[in-house]
Amino acid sequence: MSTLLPNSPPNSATPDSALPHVSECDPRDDIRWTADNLKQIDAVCEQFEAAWKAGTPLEIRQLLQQSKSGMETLLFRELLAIDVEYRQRQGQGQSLTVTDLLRSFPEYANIVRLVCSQTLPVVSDDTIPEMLAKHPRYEVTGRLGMGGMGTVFAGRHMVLGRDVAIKVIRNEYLASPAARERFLREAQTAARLQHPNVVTVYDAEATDAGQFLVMEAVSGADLARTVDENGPLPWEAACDAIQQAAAGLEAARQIGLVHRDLSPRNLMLSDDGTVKLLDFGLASLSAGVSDPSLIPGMLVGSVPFMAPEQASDPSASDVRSDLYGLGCVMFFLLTGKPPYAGGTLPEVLEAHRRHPIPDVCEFSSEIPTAVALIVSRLLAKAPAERYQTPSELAEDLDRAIKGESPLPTIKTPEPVVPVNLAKFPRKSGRLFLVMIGILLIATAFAFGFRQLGGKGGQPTVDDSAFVQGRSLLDQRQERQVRLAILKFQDVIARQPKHARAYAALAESYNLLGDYGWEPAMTVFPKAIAAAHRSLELEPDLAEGCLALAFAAATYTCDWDEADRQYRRALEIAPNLPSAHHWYAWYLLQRRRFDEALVEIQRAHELAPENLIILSNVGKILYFGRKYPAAVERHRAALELDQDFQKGHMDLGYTLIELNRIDEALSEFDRAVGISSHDLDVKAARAYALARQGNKEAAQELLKTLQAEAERVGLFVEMAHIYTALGDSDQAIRWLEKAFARKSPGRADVRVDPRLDPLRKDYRFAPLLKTIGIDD
Amino acid sequence: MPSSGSVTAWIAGLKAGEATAAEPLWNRYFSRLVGLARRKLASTSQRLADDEDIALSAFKSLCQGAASGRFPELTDRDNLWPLLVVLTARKSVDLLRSEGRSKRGGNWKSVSEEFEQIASQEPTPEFAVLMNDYCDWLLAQLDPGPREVAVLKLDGCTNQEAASRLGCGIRTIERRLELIRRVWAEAVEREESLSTSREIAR
Repeated sequence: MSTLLPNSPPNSATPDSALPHVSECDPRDDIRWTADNLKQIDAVCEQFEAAWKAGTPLEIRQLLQQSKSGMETLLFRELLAIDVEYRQRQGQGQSLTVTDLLRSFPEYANIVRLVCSQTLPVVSDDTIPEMLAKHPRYEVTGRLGMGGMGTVFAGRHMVLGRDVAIKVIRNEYLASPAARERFLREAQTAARLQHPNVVTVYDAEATDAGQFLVMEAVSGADLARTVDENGPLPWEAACDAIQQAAAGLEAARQIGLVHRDLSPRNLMLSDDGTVKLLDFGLASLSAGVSDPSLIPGMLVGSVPFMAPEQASDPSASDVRSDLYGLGCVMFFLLTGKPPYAGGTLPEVLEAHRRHPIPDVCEFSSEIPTAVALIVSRLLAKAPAERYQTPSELAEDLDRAIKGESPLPTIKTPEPVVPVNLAKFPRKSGRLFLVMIGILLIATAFAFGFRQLGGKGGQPTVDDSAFVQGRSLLDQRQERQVRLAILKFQDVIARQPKHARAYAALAESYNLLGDYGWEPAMTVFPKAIAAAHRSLELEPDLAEGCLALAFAAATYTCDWDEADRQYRRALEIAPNLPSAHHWYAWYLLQRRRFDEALVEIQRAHELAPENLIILSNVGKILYFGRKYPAAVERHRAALELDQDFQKGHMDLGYTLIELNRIDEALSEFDRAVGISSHDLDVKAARAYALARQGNKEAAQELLKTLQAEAERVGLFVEMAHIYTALGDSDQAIRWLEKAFARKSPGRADVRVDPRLDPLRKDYRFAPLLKTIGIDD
Repeated sequence: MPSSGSVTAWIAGLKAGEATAAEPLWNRYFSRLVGLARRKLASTSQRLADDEDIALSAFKSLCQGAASGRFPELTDRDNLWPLLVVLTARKSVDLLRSEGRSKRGGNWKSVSEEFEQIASQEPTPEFAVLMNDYCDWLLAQLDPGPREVAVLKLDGCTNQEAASRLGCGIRTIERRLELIRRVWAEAVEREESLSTSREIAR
């Protein structure tokens, strides 16, 4: 055993002792490495590492072919070093030895030896651990690969003549007698699991000489390799594979076994098309390692495929965590990527916890919506919102394959837990953040209101689909809003008198139109129709009035109707914070500052803890040019949460108007790094510098912003900067873009102090007119 | 300008005696500079006054390191300290020499000899500001990725710590350290050749 693997944890042998520095790279290499060369290499390496972190490693050979001639040697050395490092960290079921590498890269033999001699085993295929070499029952016939926990050999049971796979578990996993005992116990449980979709465990042994697990030999490849080699699977095939895996998981569930480490590498696709789950119960072994930090990424499963609750508390995982893992695998099969690809390990963990569920349909238009819905349900953040058992999933897959829609969710609704609003990602514009906050409280309030007031007469047998739709809607991402529409339609199909579902449907259409995701002319009429329907069913439904009001203000520009509906919503639900909040924005856009202020303050009184509302009190004061009061409110919001990015930004902008630009800049500095929206901060800095008269620095920042601004929709912000720089042409151009793309900040343009210098421009008023805002 | 050959070659051979000799001298001069920086820089330099920016100041790192006697071996390739010390030492020689040009003149033999002479003088606040700017200038030569590495390394992180802070592999830290050395070397070389040509023009 000790001859096979260096008895050291995977990460402890840092490669630096073995690695030469650039100058020593290859004596024959007479290229003088310039900083530019190294930068190019660094860029390729960055790409390579990002792919590793995303769980979708790239081919070294391919990257080398794309590289500039003369740099291959150095590039190869760097890529190989990264490859080895990541394989050792994450590698599970992957084979890698110096021998293999020498065979794959004969022309770089020197480099392979330099990089790997101290970090990889130099195993040749016939080297077998002593314990197995002299085993009374098993004979080793070959080597299948090396995984995170050890090497897998092909073998034969000599008495029975049966072909087997033997997994030798590395010592560090079973250092203590207790760990060994647990290993044997897990093996016993796993051996009870006999199912065509599970790789059967036959035998296990743990002695001082070492330990191994004997399993059914499967001829085929794992699903990671299958996808790596052939690309994503057609959706029918992916559904079939997941359905088989679900059957295996269901069998496990029935004997109380959880996998905890589902990943494409642990799903074997045998030559006859059977999918088999591998390594049941093995994930718990890593818990036995004395120093878990030695094996990052292996501790609790493969991070790209791991359920959020499992990351925070491995013991909390149950079959629903496995279903999440299976959802990630399904996403991978359909798209070739895990759902939250890219980014560092903590970023991926964070994405599992908080990021909106990505949509498989964005990767291929052929994937039916029913399949997308199944994936999104598997990937639900809260276990209660997922399928509860693998057989539920299997049924829906069956229906999807037959071209039917998934069954409506039937389970008790879970309370929607609002996440930390300040850190919630938004797609574009600040309104996004505002809306999440408001809508979450609106939803919560609507429920509470109904229960307390007892007004709504409808039975609330099954509201989970509605709740799911609401939470999708609150994510304010295009696909999620579209999925929410499907959910609400689903609810309505089953409960045709569900007034709130109609109101929510109306709201969804409003948003599609407001964000410019659908032509206004097609969606707003639908929104209005749905809102009317909700009010027919329940005339006193505040949400219905709010939806009508929103459509009137945004689409028909029927300000009187908007005003009427907002008032009515407030009459019905005088204590609904979101009604006051939206009414305040409406009043602001009508330039009725004083009334807007009264409304927003009322919203704040009703929901004093709501950061978004408090911060919008400041925002409205700012738009009303009451800067010192605005500063006070923004500071109060920041006292509630000093990591409130929007708060720092708004405070900074207000300070600029007070000509306290240095203070503003330091607020912007504080906003950096809180969320992924640092581009907004950059834009704010550029604006501040421009206002300070530091045109050069502002221009410098602008240069780096240009390309990104288009992508993330910072149109109005760009107009601010150009206005401050006195470049009206550019400012107008960006405003035109903002209107063309229906950027969410556009409605504020009319009252925005940052655009004041532009108001004199002859193009400004006609521009506003084009979007129906008339001064 | 002293013609000590290409800076690139000079930095590549950092283990050579020249750099090692500069260390104690630099240490000696630096302890005084640090004290001065603390007293004076706060008022003369906005950047140093601001806590946020201080965290990103290479010069601050240098000051702190010197104050705590943290000068690691100059031959340690995993550390940016020695490089920064040597680059700064060189730069200070340049700066001080141009300050005192009219008084002293003469030919300079090596950085360390030159430094020996300079270290016997008192550092001035203007000099500290210049050094601060120079350190910032060096950091500004780097792209954001390598700059993050540089800042963490100057803050005393090991490669392992820097890797886990940045969520990348250890190899990436090493690769970027190599890149940083090269970028700095080329930047310094460019700058020196520029000032040489300016001198000639004058």
